[in-house]
Amino acid sequence: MRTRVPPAVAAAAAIGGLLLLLPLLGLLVRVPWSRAADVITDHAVLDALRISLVCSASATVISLVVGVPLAWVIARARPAVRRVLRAVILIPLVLPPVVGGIALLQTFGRRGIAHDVLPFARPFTTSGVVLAETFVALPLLVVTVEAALRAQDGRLNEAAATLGLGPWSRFLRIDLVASRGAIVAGSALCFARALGEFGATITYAGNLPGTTQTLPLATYLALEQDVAHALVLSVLLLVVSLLVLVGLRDRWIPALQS
Amino acid sequence: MVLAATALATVPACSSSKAKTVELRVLAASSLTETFSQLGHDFEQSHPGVEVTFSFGGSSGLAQQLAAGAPADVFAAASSTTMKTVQDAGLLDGAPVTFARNRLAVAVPPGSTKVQTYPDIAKPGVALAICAAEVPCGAAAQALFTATGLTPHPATEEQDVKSVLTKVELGEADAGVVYITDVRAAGDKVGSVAVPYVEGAVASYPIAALSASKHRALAEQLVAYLSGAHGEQVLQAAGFLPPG
Amino acid sequence: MTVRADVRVSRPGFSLDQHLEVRAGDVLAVIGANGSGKTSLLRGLAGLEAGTSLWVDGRDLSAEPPERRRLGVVFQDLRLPPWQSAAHAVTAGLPRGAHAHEWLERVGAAHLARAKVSTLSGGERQRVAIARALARTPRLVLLDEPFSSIDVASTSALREAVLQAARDAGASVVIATHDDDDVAAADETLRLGSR
Repeated sequence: MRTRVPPAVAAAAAIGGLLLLLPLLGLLVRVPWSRAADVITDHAVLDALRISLVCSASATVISLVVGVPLAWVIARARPAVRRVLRAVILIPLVLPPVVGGIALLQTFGRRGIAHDVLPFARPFTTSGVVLAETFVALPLLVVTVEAALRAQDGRLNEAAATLGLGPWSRFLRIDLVASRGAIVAGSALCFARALGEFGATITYAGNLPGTTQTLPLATYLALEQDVAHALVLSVLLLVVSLLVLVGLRDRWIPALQS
Repeated sequence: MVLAATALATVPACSSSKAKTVELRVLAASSLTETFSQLGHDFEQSHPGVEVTFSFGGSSGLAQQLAAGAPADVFAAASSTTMKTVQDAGLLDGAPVTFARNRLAVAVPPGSTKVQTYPDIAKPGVALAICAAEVPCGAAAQALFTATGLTPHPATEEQDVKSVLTKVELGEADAGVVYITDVRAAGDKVGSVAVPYVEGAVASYPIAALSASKHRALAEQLVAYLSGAHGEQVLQAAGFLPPG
Repeated sequence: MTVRADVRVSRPGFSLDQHLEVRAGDVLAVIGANGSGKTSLLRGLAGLEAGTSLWVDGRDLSAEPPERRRLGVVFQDLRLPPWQSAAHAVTAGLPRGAHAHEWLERVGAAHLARAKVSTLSGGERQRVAIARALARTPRLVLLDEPFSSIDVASTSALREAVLQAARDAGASVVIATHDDDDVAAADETLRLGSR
């Protein structure tokens, strides 16, 4: 028998769904489709699209390389330590992105306290965009993967130790495989967040067409003069992130289901 | 439905606390924050029962809010182009008046020796921040560069003039093209280098009462006050030029 | 080979301090009520709990992590990675080219080699877990109620196969159990929680 949905739940769900769907509709209805072709073949727009894709993909890869180990360490830490670590990694999620950008400037900028640590990712550089996006998007990956690692509680890891697998093999062949679904889901969230990133990017990396101007930055500035142009850019951003997310889901998630 | 409920809940609360208070809402360009806040206060002193509230922001963003039906009585923009879009949309009854002008300056980090004269901003190795061409201060900067025959290569084109100033204050940029009033307001946090006077690079600040205002007479009085002698005095003390 | 150990486990509300010795090829049955510490004892021997001293043939392995103790462990909850095939589970951690077939055959699970762990029944999984424990020619076999999901008719044959494999390898076996038949098959019995 199908579960019947209680009316109150159905009503709340409908309101929630509409809240998400209607603005999307509002956007799509007002897009001047006749201008779409001109806008998306504009070389400045293509530049912004390219920078967006390259930087978001780089931020996702970096997040994977450092975020999965970070999630592992947090999941295996003692409860008191884990609570502190988890609170710390959530900071970029609750911080207004602009403040995150200022924090990055104070840290990795020319006069920052750690200005020599990442000299290649200074403000006004494309790597700076990647740094800002990683700062904002990394927590999403860590939180997702950490939850999955903690759910499996280290039991398979212990068993693998008794089979003679060392710590590194257990990390690679047990923990990573066991949390692969969460790693894919976390990467998708991470990529989507990086793709839409605005505040930290413009504050830290600035805005220069062809170098640091991502699609959200181009969209925001287009709003100043030409709302129609900005609408087309928003839809372009939407289509790109949908393509990536749907592509990831169809290509990876079924293949990985156990 | 939710919005309507909020509005209903707010309106009686306002009118019950001060039965006879009239609220005038002013949307104004963010470069007017300091001066207009003071002038609004002065106006309240001489007009008991009137409360002037401000919403400061980027001129074009404010214009879009007005076009979308945001309730307001007075609009002051940092660009005549932006004011014209509001006028063309039929949101004004009369014509706007220009009450101030603003000219550009180069802001530099305090004690900086890298940029000492205006042409230095185009030297290689100088990280220059300007406003993006889409916003008025960026358009003004382009007009300045064209008129002076300078072709600098900016490191960044920021979304507004305050962001340019921030980059200079933090020392990320060696120079930033901003309005002279921004340099004044920043006090000793930045130094400044004068730029040649270029007519096309001077920003005009128009102001007008909005036709949707429920207190038209009072709104016109406020416009007259802000663009009048006292307004001019306060604005010029902050570095604005007279309307010319 | 003789296994000698002082198992000391203590956590809030529970403590265990138990000396034990098992000769090579011998079987020690550990019995006691639920909560008496059978599983903790096995975990201590495996090196999964701190505080236990373990000597094998006079060599002190107390500081060695589990992966260097040459163990064969069947956990009560089995802990087979669900994404592995039965054969893969058995050879995990063994040198390349190791064969699962012989071990699966000994526990009557040769036909399951290609099946994914997640598709197996409880009893089938238990057989695979036993094959996995034996396949690495352990010195110390630790079994935590290993036959609980095996139907009664097959239990004694499987038990005999397991103990024979352990004897062949010269391993010492410690089996935590509630089953009198397991106790009867053991050389010695240790009752926990009786003091």
